[in-house]
Amino acid sequence: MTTVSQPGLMETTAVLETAEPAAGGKRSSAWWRSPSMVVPLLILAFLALATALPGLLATHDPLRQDLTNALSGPSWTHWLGTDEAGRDVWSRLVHGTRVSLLAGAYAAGLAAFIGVPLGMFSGYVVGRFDRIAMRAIDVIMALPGLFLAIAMIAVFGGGLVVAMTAVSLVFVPGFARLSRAEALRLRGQGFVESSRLSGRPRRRILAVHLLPNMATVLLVQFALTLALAILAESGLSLLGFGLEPPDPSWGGMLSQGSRFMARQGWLVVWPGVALTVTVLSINLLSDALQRRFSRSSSVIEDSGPVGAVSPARSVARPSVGLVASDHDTGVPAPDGSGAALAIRGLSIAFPADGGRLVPAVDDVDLAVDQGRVLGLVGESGSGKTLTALAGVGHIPTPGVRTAGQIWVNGTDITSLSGPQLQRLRREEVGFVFQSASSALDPMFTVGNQVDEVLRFGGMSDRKRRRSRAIELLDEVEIADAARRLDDYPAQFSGGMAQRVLIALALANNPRVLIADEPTTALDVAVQQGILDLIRALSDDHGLGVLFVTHDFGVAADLCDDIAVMYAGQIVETSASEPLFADPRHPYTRGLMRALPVVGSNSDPRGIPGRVPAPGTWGAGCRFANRCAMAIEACTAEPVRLLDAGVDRSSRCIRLDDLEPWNPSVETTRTEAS
Amino acid sequence: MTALSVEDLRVEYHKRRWFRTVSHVAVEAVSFSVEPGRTVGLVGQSGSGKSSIARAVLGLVKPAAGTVTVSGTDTTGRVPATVAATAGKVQAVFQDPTSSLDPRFSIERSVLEPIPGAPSERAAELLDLVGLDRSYLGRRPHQLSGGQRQRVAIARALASTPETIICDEPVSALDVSTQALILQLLRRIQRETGVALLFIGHDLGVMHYISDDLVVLHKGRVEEQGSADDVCLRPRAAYTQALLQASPLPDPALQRERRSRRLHDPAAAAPTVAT
Repeated sequence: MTTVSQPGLMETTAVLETAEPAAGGKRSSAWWRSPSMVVPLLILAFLALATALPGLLATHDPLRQDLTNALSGPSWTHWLGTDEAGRDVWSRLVHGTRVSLLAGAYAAGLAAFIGVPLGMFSGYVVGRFDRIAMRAIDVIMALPGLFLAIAMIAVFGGGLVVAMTAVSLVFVPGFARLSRAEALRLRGQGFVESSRLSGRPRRRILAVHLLPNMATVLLVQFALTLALAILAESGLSLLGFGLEPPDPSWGGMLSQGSRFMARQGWLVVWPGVALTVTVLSINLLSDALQRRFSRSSSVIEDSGPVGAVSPARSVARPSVGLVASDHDTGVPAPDGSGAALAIRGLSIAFPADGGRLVPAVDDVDLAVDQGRVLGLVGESGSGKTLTALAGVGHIPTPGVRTAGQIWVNGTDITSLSGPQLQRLRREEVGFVFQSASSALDPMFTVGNQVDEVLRFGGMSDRKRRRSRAIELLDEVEIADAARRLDDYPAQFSGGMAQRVLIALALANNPRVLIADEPTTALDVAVQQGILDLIRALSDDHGLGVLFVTHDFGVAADLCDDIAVMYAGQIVETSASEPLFADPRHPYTRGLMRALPVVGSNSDPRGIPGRVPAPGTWGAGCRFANRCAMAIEACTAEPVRLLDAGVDRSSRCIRLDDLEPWNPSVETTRTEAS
Repeated sequence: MTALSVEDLRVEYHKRRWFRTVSHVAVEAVSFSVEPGRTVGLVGQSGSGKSSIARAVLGLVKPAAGTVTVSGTDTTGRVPATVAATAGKVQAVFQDPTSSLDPRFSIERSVLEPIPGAPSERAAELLDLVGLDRSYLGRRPHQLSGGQRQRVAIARALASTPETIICDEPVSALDVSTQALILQLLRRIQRETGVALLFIGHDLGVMHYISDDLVVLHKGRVEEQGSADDVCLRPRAAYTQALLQASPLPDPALQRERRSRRLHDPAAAAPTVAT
C-alpha cells in the first residue's frame, strides 16, 4: 500500500514551533555544541591569526637562509624541517598563509561582487536584459580558467593580482546563476510584490528584500568558492605564475619542494597538508552553515498546509519470504475486533527542552467500520493529522506513542516490526495526502508509479499489472485510462492528480482508506467529484474511510459519523445527521457558525483566539478560554467525554445548559475590537 | 469617483517556442467597476482568469487590450508618471500568508514599509485597526499564526490609506474559524474607511458574504454578473447553478439528495471537470 516515510512533517514542525511560543525566535540547538561547526571555525581562527600576525606564530625569519642546514627533516629547532636554502618550513608556511588566504578571498570576493548584483538584477527584471546577461555568463563558463589566467598574465604582465583577477572571472558565473535563481524565486513572493505595489524603487527592493533573503545561500557559495580559489592560487604558483620567490606562499612552496622531493619528501607534504586542512574546514563549515540555514528557513516555509512525500517511491522493499504473519495470531483484538480501523486511548507526545515529553494527541478513541466514512474535523493544530498518520502506524519523528493501541482489521499494529508495517501499508491501509501534485514523483509516469506499488504488492506478471493499473484509473474515473498511464504527473490537473493518488492508495485492495484533507486545495467542482468517488468506493467496496477535514460542509456531504477534535482531544462524536441537527459541544457549534453558507440569513462568525499549543493545555476544558459558556468549574478538573444522547458524546460539562441549536445564536465570545 | 474600473480587459500570455510565439488568452472582454465602500467579487475555478485580472489591475501584467482606471487615472500604459500618481492608491493582500511577509522584517517594519519615515505610533494604530495586540510589533512573521500574518498583511495594505485593496484569495489558506474572523475584519475596515475591495475567491459561501456584486468567470470570460444576492440566490447561467450545486452545505440530508440527483442525472453534475 502507499507508504509514508515522513509526511505530516510540517504538522510536526508546527506543533513543535507552537510548543514554545516564547522562544519562537531563538533556535534551541546552540551552534557551539555542534562539532561540525566548531572544529572548522577553530582552524579558520588559527589561520586568521597566522594571516594577521604571522610573527606571533613563526619561530624563525621565513627568509633567513642557513645553507649549512639545508633540506633537514623535522627537528626540535625546525619543527617541520628546512628547505633547500635552509629556511624554516614552519615559519614559511605561517607567512605563506597570508598570501594564500588573501589571494583566495580576493578572487572569491571579486567574483561575488560582480556576479551577485548581476545575477540578482537579471533574475528580478527578467526579459531581454536577462537573456543577454545569461548568454554572456554562459560564454564565461565555457572558458578554461587556468588558461585564461595565463593568457591574462601574458597580456598584462605577471603578478598574483592579475592572475587572481583572471581566476575570479571564472567564478563569476557561479554567483550570477545562483543569485539569479534566488531572485526568480523571491520576486514572486507576496512581500516582494507588495513592496513593488507601494512604489518602492527597484534598487531598494533588491537591497532590502532580495539580498538579505538570499544571503545565507550566497554565504555557502562564497565558502565553496574560497576553497576553490585557494587551490587555484597554489596551482598558479606551482606553475610559476604566482608570487615571485623568495616570498613564501603555499603554492610556491609546493612548486619549490617538488624539485627536491627525492631528497626531502616532507617539503611537499607540509604545504599539501595546510591546503587540504584549510579547504576541508571551509567545506565543512559551509556544509554546517547550509544545514543550519535550511533548518531555520524551513520553520518559515513549512507552516503551510502542504508537504508530502511521494508514496510510490518511498515504498520500501518487502523482505523476501515474509508472508502475512500477523493474520493468524488467532486471538481477536479485545477492542478493535469489528472495526476496519480502531484507535483506543492513543496518546502521542513530542520531546521538548529538557527531555520533557509534551503531549500533542491525548487519549483519542476512534472506530471506523467497513463501508462507513468517519470525518475527523478540527482546526490546524488540533492533532488530527497526527491521529490520521498513526492509523498507518506512522508517528513523525521525534514524536512517540506514549499510550494506546491501533487496530487495522483486528490486528494491533503498534506491535508490528518494520517489514510488517510496510506490508500493512501496502495491503491493508491506503493513505491519501492533501497535496496530490507534490505526492507524485514528477520524474516518473503515472503508470510507473502505479506499477511499482502493484509490484511490491506481490503482482509479478507485468501484463497483469498493466491491466490492473488501467482498471484502477478507470475505477477512479480517469477518462482514457490506458493512454493516461504514460503521462507524467505534471500533465494531470490537481483533481486528476488527486484521483491518481487515490488509485495508488487502492492498488492492493485495502480495506481502510485514510485521507488527510484530500480536497482542501481543490475547486468546489473538482472537490465534488473526489467526494463522490470516495463515497462510491465506500458504498460499493465496503471500504472504511477516515476522512480528515476542517470544513463542515465537506463533512456533511461525505461522512456517516463525525469526530470533532480540539487541542489533541476528541471533544464530540456523533452520527452525522444528529450532529448537524444539534451539535452538543460549543466548539462544534463555533466551527459550524464560522462556515459561510450561500443563502444563509446569518453571517459567519469566527472563533476568536487560537487552539492552545501543546504544552500549554490547562487541567480542565481546553476550549474554555474561547467559549462564551465557560464557568469556573470548566477549568477546575479534566472533563471526560460525557453521554450526549444515543451513541453521542461531548466533552462539555455544561452540555445540558446548551441553548436549543439555532445557527445565528452566539456561543463563542465575539471578536474583541 | 469610482475607485477602480476595468473595461473590456483582455490578458494574454506568450510563450516562445522556437521561432514562433504561442499565445494563450487568459482573460477576455471583462468589464466591471468598484465604487468606494463596495466590494466586487471575482469568482471562478482555477484557470478562470480571476488572478490574471488582479495582476492586470495591479500592473503586474500588461493588458493586451482594454483599460484599467485606478482612482480616475488610466494605468494601462504603466508609464512611470501614472505609477507615481497611483502609487499607494491600490494595495493587495495575497493568498499565501507564509510568503506575504518578509521573514527577516519585524512586524513593525513590514507594516510601515509602504510609508517610509512614518512613526512607530502609526504601526501601532494599524495593528489596532486589524485587531492585533501592539506587543506583536517587534515579532517576526514565523512567530505568528496564518490568521495573524494575514492581519499583518491587511495592516500593511492599509498603511498608505489606499482607495482600493485587491484581495487575492486572502482566506483560502486559513482554517474556517479564522477565515470568518478575517472576513468580518475586512467588512469592518471597509465600513470605517470606505475602502473599495476587489475580492477574488472560489468559495461561493465566502463570496456571497463578502461581496456586493459578483462576477462569475469561466475560462477567462464572464458567465454571469450582478448583485451577489441575484447571482447566488437567483442564478441565471447554468455554470453558476452548477457551481452552487457543487458547494457543500452543512446539511447531510440535503447533500445526500443532491448526490443521488447527480448520480441519476450526470448532466447536472460538476460544471467542468478539468483534465
